[in-house]
Amino acid sequence: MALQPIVTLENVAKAYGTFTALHSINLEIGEGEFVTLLGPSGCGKTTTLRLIGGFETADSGRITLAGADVTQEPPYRRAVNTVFQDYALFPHMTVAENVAYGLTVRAGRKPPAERAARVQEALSLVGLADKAGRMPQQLSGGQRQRIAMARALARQPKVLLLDEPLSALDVKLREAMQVELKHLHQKLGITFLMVTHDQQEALVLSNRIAVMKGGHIAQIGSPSELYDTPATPYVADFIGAANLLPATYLGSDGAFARIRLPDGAQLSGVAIGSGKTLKEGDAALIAIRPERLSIGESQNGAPLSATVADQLFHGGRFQLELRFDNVDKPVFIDVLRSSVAADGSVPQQGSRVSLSVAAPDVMVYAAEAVE
Amino acid sequence: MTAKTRKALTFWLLFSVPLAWTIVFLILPYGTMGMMSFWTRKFPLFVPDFQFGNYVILFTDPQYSTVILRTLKIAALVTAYSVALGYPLAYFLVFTIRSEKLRTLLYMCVVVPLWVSYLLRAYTWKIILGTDGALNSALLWLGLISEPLDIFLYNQAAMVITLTYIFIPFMVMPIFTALERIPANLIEASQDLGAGPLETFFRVIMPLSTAGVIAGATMTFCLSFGDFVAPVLVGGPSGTMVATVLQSQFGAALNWPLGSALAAIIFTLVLIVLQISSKLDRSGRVSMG
Repeated sequence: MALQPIVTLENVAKAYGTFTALHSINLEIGEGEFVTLLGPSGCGKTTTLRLIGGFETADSGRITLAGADVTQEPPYRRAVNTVFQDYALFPHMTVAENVAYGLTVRAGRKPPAERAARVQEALSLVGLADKAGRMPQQLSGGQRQRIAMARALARQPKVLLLDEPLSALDVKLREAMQVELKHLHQKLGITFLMVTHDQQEALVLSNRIAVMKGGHIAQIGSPSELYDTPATPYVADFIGAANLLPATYLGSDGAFARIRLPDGAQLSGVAIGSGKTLKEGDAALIAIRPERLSIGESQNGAPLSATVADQLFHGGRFQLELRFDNVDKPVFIDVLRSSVAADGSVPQQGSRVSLSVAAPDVMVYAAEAVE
Repeated sequence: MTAKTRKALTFWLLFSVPLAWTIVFLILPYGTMGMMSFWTRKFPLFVPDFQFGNYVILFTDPQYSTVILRTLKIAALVTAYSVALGYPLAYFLVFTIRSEKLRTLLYMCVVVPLWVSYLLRAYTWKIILGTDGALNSALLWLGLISEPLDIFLYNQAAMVITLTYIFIPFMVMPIFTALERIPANLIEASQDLGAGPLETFFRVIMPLSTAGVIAGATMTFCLSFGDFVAPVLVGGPSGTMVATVLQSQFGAALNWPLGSALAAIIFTLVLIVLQISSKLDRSGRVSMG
């Protein structure tokens, strides 16, 4: 990575009793990056954030912050600040007192004039300068969220840690706040490290995403890398939507891998990760993004066909639930309304449709043992 | 029966129960007490009257004001010691004990004594502090003293110790509840913003547990102010408290009017304490929402 690393985790592990939350994690975050830890609950993402914030101590490994080893340092001696999931605003203090808190503590006390200026600046940054005198309870959820941001930013931390910052907001507000968060990051230029279980949020906001699973980092990379070449079917399924289908590996024809679906149709695809170790006749698992499957005859070779099981209306698009013969799992494809023929006909329930997919859009993995 | 009369009937049926309760248990007894405080005693009878003689006696005879002031002092001391001992205990239970089971167990140890006879618990201290008591035996055994001392019992210190012991659960319980309600992430937020443990305590934990301290202080103060068992058991002549005097006015001294006047004064003092406490409480209370 070209960027100067600001946070590094080297072989960091953490267990709670018999439950191992993190198995030896390695992570390097560059200065000014927006990195997201993404995964379902229990994957270790929050533990990672809490280890960097200092609220948990690693069992082994090393954490550095701006070059200094902070593995054993308490939270109040780390140049990071956290935006907590439910904001954690002090209920007995006004908004201004909350924001000023980090500037009045003994270790970081600022003169009154500077303090006032920084509180003002932080509140303006989140657009709530007029709420300085309010109590947190008098604010809406979105406003509290911003105050929590302002309070953390007033300390001018090297790294801002965000623990599911938008999860408590309703959908509309969450989307608006995503945009604001992104602008804030661009404007401030400091490093943001966010934890979320919302893949959409991660894709929109991050420079890089670390997808976590069971205490490991499954894959780390830019949003487009993760979306276009997910290293495992798990990542493919977690980032965006993916149709996962069982298949049989038939061999390689040079550039592409040849596979056969249970209904007999043969396809070409790209072997990724575990897919590169496949031998002829092995069980494989293929992943295809819904938007990459389109209705119509395939130009290159064997026709794919499926039965329409259901039709889901999403406003601007239809989602078709399809069934391939001999496959239990449904396959979803998107049909934009604007692309539907002028007569408005969308394949009806029970009808057969032909499908096509380009070889680069078929991701081929080795079949995983069921977990 | 029309809907309207049925509605009125339901209303009065519902309303009459609390109304009757209030009249029988609050208005009648306190009214009687207030009324009687203006009566005159013509031994052995009490004559209905309206005069302030009883109050004049209470305010001018130093014997009464001394007892009232002493009672206030002892109640205040008991409250102060209860806070000083109860707060750290509650803090320890909530923040230091990690195991939920152990915490519940220790908390029960604080609360369970309340189920043991009050008299028995007060009597225990008579046994500990007495001339042949545990404390003297221990000191003798250690060789610190050569013969038993009688300085431990029958004084105000003995009373403060006994009352503190008896009423401290009423202090620990509300403080424990207040501390337990403080979200852990507020403490983390404070540390995250650069405050060490001590600063976090004074700026976050303490302000957010004030309501519990006030509730506990109000209870221990009012309970020890009106106590009359401890003075009899461990107080001795220098430890007479207002409730003892009150009791004797209705008993041996057979002066109900004077007793009623004294009771009215105590009642007023307690009301003042409650008023102050609720005012403090309201200004200190914050919603955790």
